[in-house]
Amino acid sequence: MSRPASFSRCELAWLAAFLLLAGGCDRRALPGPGASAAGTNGTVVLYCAVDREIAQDLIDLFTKETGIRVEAKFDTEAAKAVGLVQAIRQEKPHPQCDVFWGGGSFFCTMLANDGCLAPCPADLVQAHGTAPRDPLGRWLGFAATYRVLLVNTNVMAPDALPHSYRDLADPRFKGHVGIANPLFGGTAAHVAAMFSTLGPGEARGWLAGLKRNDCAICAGMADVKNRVASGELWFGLTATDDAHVAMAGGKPVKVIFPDQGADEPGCLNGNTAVAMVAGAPHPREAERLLRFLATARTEQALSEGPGQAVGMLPESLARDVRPAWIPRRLKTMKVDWAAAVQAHPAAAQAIREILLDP
Amino acid sequence: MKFLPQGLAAAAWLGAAGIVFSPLLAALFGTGLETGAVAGSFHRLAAPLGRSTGSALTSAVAALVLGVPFALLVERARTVPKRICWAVGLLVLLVPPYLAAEGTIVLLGPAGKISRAVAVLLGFGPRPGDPLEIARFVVPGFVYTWPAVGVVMGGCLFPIVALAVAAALRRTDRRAFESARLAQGARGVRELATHILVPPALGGALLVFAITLTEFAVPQLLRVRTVGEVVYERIQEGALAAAAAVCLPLLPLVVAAGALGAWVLLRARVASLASLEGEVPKFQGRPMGAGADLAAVAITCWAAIPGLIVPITSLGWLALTATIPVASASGSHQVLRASGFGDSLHGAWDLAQHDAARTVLLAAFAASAATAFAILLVRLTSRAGWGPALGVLGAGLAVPAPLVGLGLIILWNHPGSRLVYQGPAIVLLGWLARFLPVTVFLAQGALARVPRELESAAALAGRGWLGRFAAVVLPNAAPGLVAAWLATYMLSATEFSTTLLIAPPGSPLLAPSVVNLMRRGQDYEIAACQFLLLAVIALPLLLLGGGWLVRAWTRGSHRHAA
Repeated sequence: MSRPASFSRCELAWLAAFLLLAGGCDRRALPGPGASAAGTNGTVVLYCAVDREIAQDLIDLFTKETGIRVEAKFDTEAAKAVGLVQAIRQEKPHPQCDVFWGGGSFFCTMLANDGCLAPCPADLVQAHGTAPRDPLGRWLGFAATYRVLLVNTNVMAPDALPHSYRDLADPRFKGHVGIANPLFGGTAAHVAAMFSTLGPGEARGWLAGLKRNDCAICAGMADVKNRVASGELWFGLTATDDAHVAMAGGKPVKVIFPDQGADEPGCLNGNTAVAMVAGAPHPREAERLLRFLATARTEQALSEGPGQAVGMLPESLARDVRPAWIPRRLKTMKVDWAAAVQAHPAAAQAIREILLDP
Repeated sequence: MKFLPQGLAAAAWLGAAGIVFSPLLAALFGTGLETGAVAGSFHRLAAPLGRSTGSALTSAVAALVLGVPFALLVERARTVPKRICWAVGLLVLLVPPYLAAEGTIVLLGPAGKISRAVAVLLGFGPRPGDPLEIARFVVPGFVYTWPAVGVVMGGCLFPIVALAVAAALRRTDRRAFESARLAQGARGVRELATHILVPPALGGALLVFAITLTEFAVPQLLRVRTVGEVVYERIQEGALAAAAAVCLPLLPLVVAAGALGAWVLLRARVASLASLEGEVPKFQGRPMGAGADLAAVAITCWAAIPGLIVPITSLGWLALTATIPVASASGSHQVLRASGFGDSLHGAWDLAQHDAARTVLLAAFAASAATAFAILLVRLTSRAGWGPALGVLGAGLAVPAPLVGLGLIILWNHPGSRLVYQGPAIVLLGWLARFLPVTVFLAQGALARVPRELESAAALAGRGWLGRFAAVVLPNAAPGLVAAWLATYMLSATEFSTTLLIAPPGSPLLAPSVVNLMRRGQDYEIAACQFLLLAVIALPLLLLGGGWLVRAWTRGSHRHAA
């Protein structure tokens, strides 16, 4: 006789759970474009490829200042570039996202070429100074992070340190170097940039050198950092923000900004970028968020936070916004991102043929 | 009159197939299928396909090697050790395989904390006195290979096999063993045990095979290029149809595996209570004592090594040995600003507490819906005699997670379906598309062991369909159905590749949030994030365990009073 009673308790519990769930999850304003949520000055949907711990403060500040609620959706490094960029691509017929932040110049150029991005306000584009941006103003780049060589100082003698990306293919370091999988994320952008900047011949030669050198293909730049910090790899290619985690954690590592010589191309700037999505459901709110994000204040916050970014906007350049450990006057690779995106299919094919599936 | 059950069974099967395969079909055809691009997507696929199949086979074997002895030995132990061992076994299922892979690298990799120390102890280390050589010493080995992917995946998923075997064992009348012993001695017991246990073990192993086939995160960490990686590449290139086409060679493999599993399950009906009642002496099994308990504890420790002990040890190592840095970041949200494991845990909880609550509720709801639907589907199809057709659903496991997410976007991102796409329903659909085959398989195993004679007896006694189900089927199939619920809950709660694509903006879920937080973390922050994920997902288990303890204590008090 006790079974029916226990069943009904169970049913009640699930009903309560579902009601909670329905109430808790579907907080989104359902009405169409431009609709305002009750009690706020509206809603803006942000697809954010910038890490949450970096972005959340700024999102909260924006809501506090404007009263506009930000419905954010974050990416993870583990998803590589198949996360938010692909979601925006597939949502193109009925866009859900208003503003895309992150992904860098490379992936924003891809999205712009696919017709997924709308032009930014002209005054904002003009005020952008020398910071990277789309020629048609569909994305704005800012807050530089650099691709660097992270070296384990326990396993490398000070007089034998690498100084160039080319050293990843140096036979002296055979079996002891690593990069993130070059088909995904920031390293895909890096290799495509090398193809467009150095030319396919030299870039393919570099890939062949990596293969000969048994270069470890790690799961991501954070993974490269972990393997170098543990001593499993002697050095590897990673980003300044990842390298900073290892340095701040007291690991035996040193950061080298590569290719700074007169006849060398310079290190790659993997700046972040922000863009408005074409056909965004909340265009007015999107523009306000765009104006909030593409500012020196954001760069200052990103510089002080775990992003460890260097300011690129005119006001930041004037104030020299940068973490103290990143040197001034770095020589950076001159990259035409439109050409890099064009070179990407050839680069991906070369990566597969030479490095991954020879 | 046979027409109605067959019609209902067909409708239920079509519904399940729609849930499982519609994202793949949308990805394949929704963006325009270009024959040339699809044909090109198979170029150079043989090597990744071989590695995927090899690692999947290894994982199935590893799950069998760990899961079957675990179930057999733990089921022989006394009640309390048995429950403790099962709790540990289920905890293994809680640990996402990517955490186990990371732990394997930290402890057993070339620069692993354990592998390096063991190599030095065994005399393979460098010359003492040369610090550079000591620092450069690494252990060449097994970790970055496709068999290692299989071992990690099999080690994390062995409870699926163990649950299937234990469910079969629990529903088997022990007197059948005694009959076999009296008739043919030890050989008879062996043959009966083989007849009863091989089908569920094989079925569970086939599930593990299918889940490993398209796994992406573990092969990435262990530097093994598999089909999952090729699919991600095609998606990044914007060739969604080509990405979906890459999965097609996997489907027949998994369908064959799933159909075989369903077929062997249906053949595996055990001796029923009614037919043996009163004919043989009551069989209690071997007397259970400390020896059985020790064996259960030993096998639990052994089986939990790859999926639980390695990641937990690695996590503890990270937390204990991390150097606490000088605060280098400003702002209220930075987990980086924290000053140790406790602070990091607090910081991660501050950021992700709402995500955690949402995840537990949604995963519990998904598991309940999937289990209820699976029961209905299995009952209807078995009555219509179409049980093996359920094996086709297993092919859904060969669809990689991001394809499911992107396919759902194509299917549901329309003005008319805004309520679904912008709410939790889309996440439920994603999880069901990924894990309904697992639920169906485990439910099928559980329901196949309900003696038909008991149902017939209940029918003769005047019980209706619902009454028979509540009074006979549900109590007899309960252990297997609980296993199906738990497996679905855990897989859903730790899923992130589909979830991050389809979770409504402003309603993040725990697994993507934690993976996001871990990316830039210091060692103790990574440990804190992993701990948070495990603790939150284990919550329902802990509540169940607590409820059991309270019930056991209350019963004990009542007996004492009586």
